[in-house]
Amino acid sequence: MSVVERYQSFKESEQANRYREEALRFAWRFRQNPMSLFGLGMILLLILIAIFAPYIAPNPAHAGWRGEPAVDFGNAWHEPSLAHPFGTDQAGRDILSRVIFGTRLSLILGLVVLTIAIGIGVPLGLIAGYVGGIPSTIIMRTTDVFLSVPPLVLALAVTVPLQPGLVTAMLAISIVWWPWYTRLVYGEVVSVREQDFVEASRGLGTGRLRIIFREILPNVTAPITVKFSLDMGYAILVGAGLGFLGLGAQPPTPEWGTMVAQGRIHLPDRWWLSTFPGLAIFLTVLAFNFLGDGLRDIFDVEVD
Amino acid sequence: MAPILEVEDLKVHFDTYEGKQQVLNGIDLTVNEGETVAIVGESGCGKSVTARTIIGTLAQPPGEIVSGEVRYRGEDLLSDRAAAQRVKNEEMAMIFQDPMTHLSPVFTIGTMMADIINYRGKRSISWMRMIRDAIGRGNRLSAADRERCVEMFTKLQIPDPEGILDRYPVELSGGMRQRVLIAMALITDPDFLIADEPTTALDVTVQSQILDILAERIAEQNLSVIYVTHNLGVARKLADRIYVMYAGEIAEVATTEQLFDQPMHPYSIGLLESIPKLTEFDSEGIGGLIPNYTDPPSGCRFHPRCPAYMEGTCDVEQVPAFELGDGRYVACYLYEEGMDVETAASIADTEVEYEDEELEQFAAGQTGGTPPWEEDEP
Amino acid sequence: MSEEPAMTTPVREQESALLEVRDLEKYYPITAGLFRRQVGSVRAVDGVSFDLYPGETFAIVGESGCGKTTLAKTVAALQEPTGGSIVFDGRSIGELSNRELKPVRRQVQVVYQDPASSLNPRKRIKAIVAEPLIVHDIGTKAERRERVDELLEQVDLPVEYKYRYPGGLSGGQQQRVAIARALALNPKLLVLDEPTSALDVSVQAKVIKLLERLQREYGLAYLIITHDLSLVKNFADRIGVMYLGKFMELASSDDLFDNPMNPYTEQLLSAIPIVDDEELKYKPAEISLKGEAPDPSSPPSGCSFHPRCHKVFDACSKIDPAFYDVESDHHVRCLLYDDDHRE
Repeated sequence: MSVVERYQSFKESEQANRYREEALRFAWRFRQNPMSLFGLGMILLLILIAIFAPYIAPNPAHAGWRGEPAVDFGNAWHEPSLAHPFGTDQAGRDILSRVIFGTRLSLILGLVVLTIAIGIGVPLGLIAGYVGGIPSTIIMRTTDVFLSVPPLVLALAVTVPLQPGLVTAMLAISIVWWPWYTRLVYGEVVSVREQDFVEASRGLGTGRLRIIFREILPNVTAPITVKFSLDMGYAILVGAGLGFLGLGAQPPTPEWGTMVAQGRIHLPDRWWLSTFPGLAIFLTVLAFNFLGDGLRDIFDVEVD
Repeated sequence: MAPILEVEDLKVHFDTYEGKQQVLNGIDLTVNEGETVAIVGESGCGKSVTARTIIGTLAQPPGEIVSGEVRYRGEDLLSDRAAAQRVKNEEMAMIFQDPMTHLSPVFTIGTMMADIINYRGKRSISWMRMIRDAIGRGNRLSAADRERCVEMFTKLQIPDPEGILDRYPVELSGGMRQRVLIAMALITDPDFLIADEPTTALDVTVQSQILDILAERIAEQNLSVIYVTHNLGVARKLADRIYVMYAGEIAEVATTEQLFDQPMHPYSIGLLESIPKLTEFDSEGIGGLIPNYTDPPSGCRFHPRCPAYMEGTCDVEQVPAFELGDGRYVACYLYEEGMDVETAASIADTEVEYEDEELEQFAAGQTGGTPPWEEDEP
Repeated sequence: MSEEPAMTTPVREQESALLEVRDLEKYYPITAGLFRRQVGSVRAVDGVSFDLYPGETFAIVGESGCGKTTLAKTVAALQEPTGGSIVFDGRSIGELSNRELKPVRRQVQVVYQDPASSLNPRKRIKAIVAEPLIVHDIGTKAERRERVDELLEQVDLPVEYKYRYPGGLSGGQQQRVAIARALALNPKLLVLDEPTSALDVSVQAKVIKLLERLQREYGLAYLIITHDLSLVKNFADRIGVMYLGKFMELASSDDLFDNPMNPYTEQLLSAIPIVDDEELKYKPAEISLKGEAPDPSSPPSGCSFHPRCHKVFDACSKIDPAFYDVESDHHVRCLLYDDDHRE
């Protein structure tokens, strides 16, 4: 059978019908919540902007991407105009271009941070929840210690001995973030593990790891997804916070927080320097929150 | 006997992803003064929705009352909100399946009894009074009310009726909680009681005790009762008349004696046969599933599962309820209006036969024999 | 603690038992205080003995909290007993390590009460039914796929349902999936823990029929746990009536219903709401029932049933009755059958 034929026969099969129906149902529930649809649209737009930044930005060279400094002092301090919709900064760089490139950094930062956080936090939560006993106590008390310090303060403490920069910032935020996932997953696992299907699996002689990853994990992915979406916004916010405090990305990197910090001294006269990167942070965080809220309704889960 | 409650052509729809679910499709129901009526059906047949619509606790949305009337002593509770409020407050009471979720865990039984006695039937309570009660825990039972509670508890055979007023629900066993819930429903002397599967969560020996005291209360307080249950045996013990419900429609209405003597509707017959009995249990059950409510079968909703299905008749129009000679109603085209009982019974005997498909398949060699998947021992 | 005689059914004396349970005990500690000192124990299963033969159905009947589910789980090696022994097919389960248990687990499978909870909601039916085969490393992927289809056919489910999630099936269909999963490894014993109590009666009848057919075809032995005496009247060969962790009466199904000897069995029978007047012949004369099962952590003295018993006499509160073999293989735990104490 050729690939096309196989595809045709699959399309007709009961299997395909099931999958289609499930997808439609999911889409319907998503549509019930216009805010989350708006969030999703915003995020898709942001992703497109991030990918095609060099083609969209009117002045890619001004972005300071990869730390390449660019100056055009002749055009410094332009107010927002048609030529420079977001205006220009003290070095004559087009702020719109910099904000567009900043999208890349923010999304990458959020993604990297949460990948690390989930990579550490989720397995630990699964183990603590399912195995119980002393491992559980050790893991959960460690998370308690991490969670007892405000996230930004802890992230600051981590960055201090290190070279300030974007990578440092990401590392610091990851270290702050994983305990949340451990705690979330732990709570979920404790309730899932009491269900009969886990015992049924034990009754088959299934090994612990298989039970944890094949039986329990699929039942905790929904809250993880929701938290992931909500946290993308917060992680970007903390990243921007570090940038603002000078401990994250360094100028001329077009990181939104760093840009807000740099423009701050020129407020309120040259308001456009800080306002536009600030708006970008605001909209991005909002979009992820909307999406997360929508997903929470769809999956019907509780996430703190 | 005058009817105390009349439900006419009640239709309730639910909004869901699949579309509008036609959950109740024209329910007619009458409860006479002092009569106990049981609504019997399997899960998802709409019996609880019926009860909830009558007492006014149907969640709207997603529920929607499309048409129908619920008349209590002549007043339509669905259109006249004030009347509904008054009737609910003063004359109706309800008991539920799971007493734990209907008893607040943070109050003692006495406090809850006091709430009911002090607030029930009052249309307006001053804010001051409510605040005083909430803050000062001033909402105590007066000596007379206390005595009333104890008396009620004694009638419900609750041991240590005096002490139970100071206990919390968690300190009581399941049977005791259900008794307390019954006491709360009956303490204000209602005329009409709706019971939604009150013994389902209990052990059989406890269920038997509760049914006995419930029957005693019904007789003594001259209650009119709607008793919702999935258990025909329970209905038999308590009810004067039984409504058999299937997929949002009334399949059959008969006195308890009539129904157990000779069920007429094919669904009632199948249901009764499916119950494990002490004498024998060799039933086939009823094949198929309850229908999809968004796109219910045309005509009689039972026809896809019915062994006496007549093509061209049963699947065309909704079946009217035919009154048979002995005053019972059957919604089935096997029968005719005014048919005498002997004829009807012989039709039921000959036409309705649940077949043993599995045994036939087995005999025809369609299934099994030796397992084809033989593997070696480890 | 218990003085049960070893039980065998004479008819089958030559045949060896598939399952021999002897003096089985499962106590749960009750701890209190900061240092979790043990202050007592809940005797969930308190000295239970019985045999189960190949192809036989043994029912354990009792009310909630009587320990019947704990007993089932202990037999299925899901919980470790605190005393006594379980010998399955000649192997003593208690002495086996987890690894050594694996072949035994193939032979003993459990069907749970609530299929909505015993089937993983996030796995498709095909994955659920194939799981036992994967865990025990049986067959290639293609063979397993074929086996899943075959098992679904065995339990009368349309094969297309394998692409669904459990949530897309009705309760009865879910229970069929659970049965298919239990059958995947060709077990010798199925432990059925209230297999139909979450189902409607019309569906229950179908599931019971299916179980009977599977037993005929594969010679399965069933250990069924239920609260419903009328359900097992015709389904089970022998019945043990349990109260507070102990058998109160153990007899063949016919003997138990024709001649219930323990007052507790009488009460259970009398409490069943019947639908047919002919059933009355199995019901004892009107008994006034009272009380509920006591807290198993502090059982009454003497006979644990005496506070609720309608035939109670003085000695009942003082002497714990033994398990008397009254007629051939009709065992009763009641002082009425003890010549020394009966008044």
